[in-house]
Amino acid sequence: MDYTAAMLNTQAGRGVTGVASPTSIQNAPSGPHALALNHVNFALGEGETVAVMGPSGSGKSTLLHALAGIIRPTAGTVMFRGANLGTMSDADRTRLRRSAFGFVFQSGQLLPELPAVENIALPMMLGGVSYRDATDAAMLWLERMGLKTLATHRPGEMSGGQMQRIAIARALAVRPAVVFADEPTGALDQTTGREVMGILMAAARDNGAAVVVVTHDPNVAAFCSRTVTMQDGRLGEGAR
Amino acid sequence: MSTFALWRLFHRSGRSNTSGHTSVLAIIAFAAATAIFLTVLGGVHGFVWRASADHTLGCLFDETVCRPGTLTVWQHRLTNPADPASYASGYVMLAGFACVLLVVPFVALAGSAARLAASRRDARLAALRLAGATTGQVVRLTALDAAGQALVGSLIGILGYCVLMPLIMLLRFQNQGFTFEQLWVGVPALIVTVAGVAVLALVSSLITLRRVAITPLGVTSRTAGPLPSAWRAVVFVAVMLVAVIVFKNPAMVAGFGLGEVMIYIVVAGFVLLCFALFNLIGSWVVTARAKSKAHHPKDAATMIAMRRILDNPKRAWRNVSGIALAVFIAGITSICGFLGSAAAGGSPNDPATLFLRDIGTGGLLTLVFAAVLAAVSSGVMQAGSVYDQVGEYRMLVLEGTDVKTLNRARFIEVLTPLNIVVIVAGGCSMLLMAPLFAVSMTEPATLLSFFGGLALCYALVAIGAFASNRVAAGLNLTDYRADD
Repeated sequence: MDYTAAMLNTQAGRGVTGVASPTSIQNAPSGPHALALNHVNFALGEGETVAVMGPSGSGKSTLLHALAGIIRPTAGTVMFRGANLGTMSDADRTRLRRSAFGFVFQSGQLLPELPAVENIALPMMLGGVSYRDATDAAMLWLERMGLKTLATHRPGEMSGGQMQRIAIARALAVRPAVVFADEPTGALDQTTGREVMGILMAAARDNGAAVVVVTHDPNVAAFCSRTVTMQDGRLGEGAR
Repeated sequence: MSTFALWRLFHRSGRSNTSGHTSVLAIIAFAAATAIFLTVLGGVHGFVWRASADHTLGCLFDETVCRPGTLTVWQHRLTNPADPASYASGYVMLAGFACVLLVVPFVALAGSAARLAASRRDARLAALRLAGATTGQVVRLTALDAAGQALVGSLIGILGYCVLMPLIMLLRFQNQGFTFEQLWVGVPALIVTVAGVAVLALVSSLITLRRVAITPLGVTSRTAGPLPSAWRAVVFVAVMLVAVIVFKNPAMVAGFGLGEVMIYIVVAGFVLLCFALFNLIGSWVVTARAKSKAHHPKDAATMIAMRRILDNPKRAWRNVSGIALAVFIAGITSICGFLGSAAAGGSPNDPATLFLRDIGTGGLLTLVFAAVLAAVSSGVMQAGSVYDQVGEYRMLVLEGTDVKTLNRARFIEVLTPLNIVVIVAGGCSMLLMAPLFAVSMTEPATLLSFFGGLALCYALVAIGAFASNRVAAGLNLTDYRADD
C-alpha cells in the first residue's frame, strides 16, 4: 500500500500491495492470511478533508491506523512528507503521531482521571511544553469550544457532545498536519453529531489541518471535500 | 440457569483476556498470603511446642490437662538457669506479638487479592445483566469466582508452606533448629486456613461489589468522588500523642494499680492500635501529597500519576499500604537489631544472651515476612492496575505517548505515595519507640536495622514495578479495532 499523506505536495505512490492486520494474522489458523487492506492507493493533500466509508469489516479503521503509523503494512509504503513510516523506528513513529497527527475517536479517548483542561494540555505536555503554558493554551481552546465552564470537570461529568468537543480541542491543540477521526459522531445523536462535525471541520480548516474521517454515516461524509469507499480491503472513489 | 452453569459459561471465553490475567494475579496473591501465614503460624506452633510440657497448646495454659509425667520433667528444666526453656514463655509471647503485627499486612494482601478477583469484570457482568442475569446471579457468580480463586490460591499456598519449611528449619532459635514436628501446624489448621481465606475473599468481594452498581447498561460513569477527610489525621495524631505520653510514663499505668504485665500489654496494645490506625490515615496522607503535587506537575507523567492517585486514593494507598506497614514494623523491630548486636558480647550458651540474639533474629524475620507480603501486594496491585488501565494505555499510545512516559507515570503513581507513607510510618514507629528505648534508638545497630529495612522495602517495590512494566510490555496496545 502506498499512502502518501501529501502535506507538502508529495506525490501519491503507485505500489500495489496489501496490509495484513495483526488481528487477522492472529486469528488465521493456517494458510494464507486474510488481508485487511489489499491494493490500496491513497493520497491526501494539504488541508484536504476525506471521508472513508464502507461496511463493517471492510478495512476502514485498519487503513486509518496504517496511515497514522500505528501499524506497519506488511508490504508497500506509507509516505509522510518524504519519510517512509514503514521504515521508521517505533519511537520515531510515536514522536510523529505526537507532533503531526491528531486523533478523534468514537468515545473513550479522554483520560477519565484528568479534568477537561488537562486532557487538552496533555499532548502539549508530552511534547515538552510546561504545565502552565499547556494549560493556558488549553483554556483558549476551551473558550473557543464554548466549554470554559467545564475546565475543571472530568469526562464522567460531561455529555457525549461535550466530550467530543474536548477531544477535538485536544487533537488540534498540537496544531497537527492531519487529524484522524474514527467514527467521531458514532456515539452521538444526529443533531449533536452534526454540530461536532461542524466544529471539527471549522477548527481543522482554521489550523490548516487535513482531516481523514472514517464513518458509516453519509451525513458525516458530506462534511468532507472527498469521499472514498472501502470494500473487502480495497479502496474505491466514492460519489464525490 | 444455576450460578455454577453461569460460571462455566462465563469462563469459557474469558481464559485469555484481562479478567483471566487478573485471576492469575489474584491466585498468586492468595497463594503468597497463605504460604507466609502458615509459615508464621508454623513458627508460633514451634515456640508453643517448645514452651509446653507435653507440646500441646492446652498444656501451655492449663497444667492440669498436661500428659502425666511431662509436667515434672518440664518444671525440672525450668529450674535449671542454663536451660533456654526458662525463657520459653517469652518466646511464645514475642512470636504472638510478631504474628499480630503480620495480621494487618496479611489481611491487606488477602483483601487486595479478593478485590482483584471481584473487580475488572464490570463490562462482562454488565453484559450478563443485559442478557438477563439477575443481580443475585451476578453477585453469586462474582462470589463464586473470588472463593474459587482463594481456594486454588490457598492450596498452592499450602505447597509453598511445605517448600519453605526446610528453609525455616535452618534457623536456630533457643540454640536449636526447628523440626518438622514443631513447624507442622496440622491438617485441621490447614483446613481452617483454607476456609478462612475463602471466607475472607467472599466477604471482600461482596463488599467490593456493593460499591459497584452493575446494571445492564454498564457501570456508573467515573466521576470525582469525595476525598478522605482530615478527621482521620486528627484521630491518629491524638492516639499517637496519648501513646507517647503513656510510653514516657509507664509508671502512670502502674499507678492505676496495674501490674508489670499490664504495662507490657498496654504498650503492645498502643503499638498495635497505632499500627491499625495507620490504615485509617493512609489514604488521607496520600491524597494530601498528590493534591500538592497536582497543582503544578513538572511533566505529563507526573500529571497523569497525580490525577490517577486523586481519582482513587484508596487504590493508591492499597498499592503501598503493605510497604508502609512493613516500614512501621521496621521501626518497631529496629530495636531488635540493637538487642541482637548487644547479645554478641555475651556467652553463646547463656539463655539470656540467646534470648536477646533470638529477638534480633525474630525481628528481622518479622520484617522480611512483612516486606515480602507487602511486595507481593504492591506488585500484584500494580500489575492489576496495568490491566485495569489497558484501554487508556492503548489510547495514549495511539496518540503518540511513548512507553517510557507510561512506565514513568505508573512508577510515580507508586513512588509518590510510597515516599510520603514511608516518612510518616517510619517517623511514627520511631516516635513510639523513642520513649521506651531512648538511648538505644540512636545506636548504629538500631539505625542500621531500620534503614536496612527501608532499603529492603524500596528494593521489593522496585521489583513490583519492574514486574508491572513486564506486564505492560506484554500488552498489545496497538492492535485495536474500533468497528472493522
